[in-house]
Amino acid sequence: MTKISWRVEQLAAQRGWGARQLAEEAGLDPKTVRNILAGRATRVDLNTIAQLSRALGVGPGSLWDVGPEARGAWERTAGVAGEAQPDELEHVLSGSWPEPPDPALERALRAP
Amino acid sequence: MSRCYLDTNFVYAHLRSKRGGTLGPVEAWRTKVLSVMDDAGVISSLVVDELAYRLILAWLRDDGAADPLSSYRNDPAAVMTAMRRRLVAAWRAVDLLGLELQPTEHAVVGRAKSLMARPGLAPRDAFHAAHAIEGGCALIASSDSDFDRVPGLQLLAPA
Repeated sequence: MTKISWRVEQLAAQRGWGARQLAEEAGLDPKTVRNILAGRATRVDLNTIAQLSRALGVGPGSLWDVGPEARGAWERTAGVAGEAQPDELEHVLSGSWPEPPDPALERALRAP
Repeated sequence: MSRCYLDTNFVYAHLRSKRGGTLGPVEAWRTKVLSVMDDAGVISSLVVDELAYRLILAWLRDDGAADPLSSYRNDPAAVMTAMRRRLVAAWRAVDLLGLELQPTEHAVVGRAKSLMARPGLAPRDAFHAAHAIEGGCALIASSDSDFDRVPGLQLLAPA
């Protein structure tokens, strides 16, 4: 089961805000904010989410962390799209893909 | 630990390099990024789009196409049909990573417009950076040095 947790505390800390200032900025009850910051709040109404989102300057979906089921997923998926050819990753690592257009430009350039 | 936006080139390098192989720089980059980011990395639909495009060109090359881009342009529909099975496997792997998809909200579009004006990012880079910032990311894993010019974003580039 995917684990979902609040990341409001981290977002507030990035702005140097504690519970009181976040409550003021968002126009919310300090107790509600303290419960969210402590990760205790499990039932939060949409208005509160909207106010937090606005105050913190992020989209609503950024108020939570959705953790992967296992960190080992990175190990299991390495190389699943095939082994790169010798020069292929040199281009990727140097920031210069060998084929010039990006996909959006490719589509825009396609003849009608 | 911070949230980290994963640019296409990072996800691509991961999917195209086996762990423990001879591709040391990719392994080092992956280790660096995974050691500092929160559990779930953040991507956008741009990454999915670019990843599909880049993987298809790589697979055409794997299959012996001397000019993958021309092969793709000649008959994109046939190429997509031929690549269907490999794409499904790639999406399954991406799903397994549990990456968070940052939606393209109004705030993202507005931020991208600002980044095009200052510091003058190219449109596509501006949209990647905007998704990262609006997704609450302080880090961006990319080999594109242009992201170094974005205030508030720390670039995690390969060594």
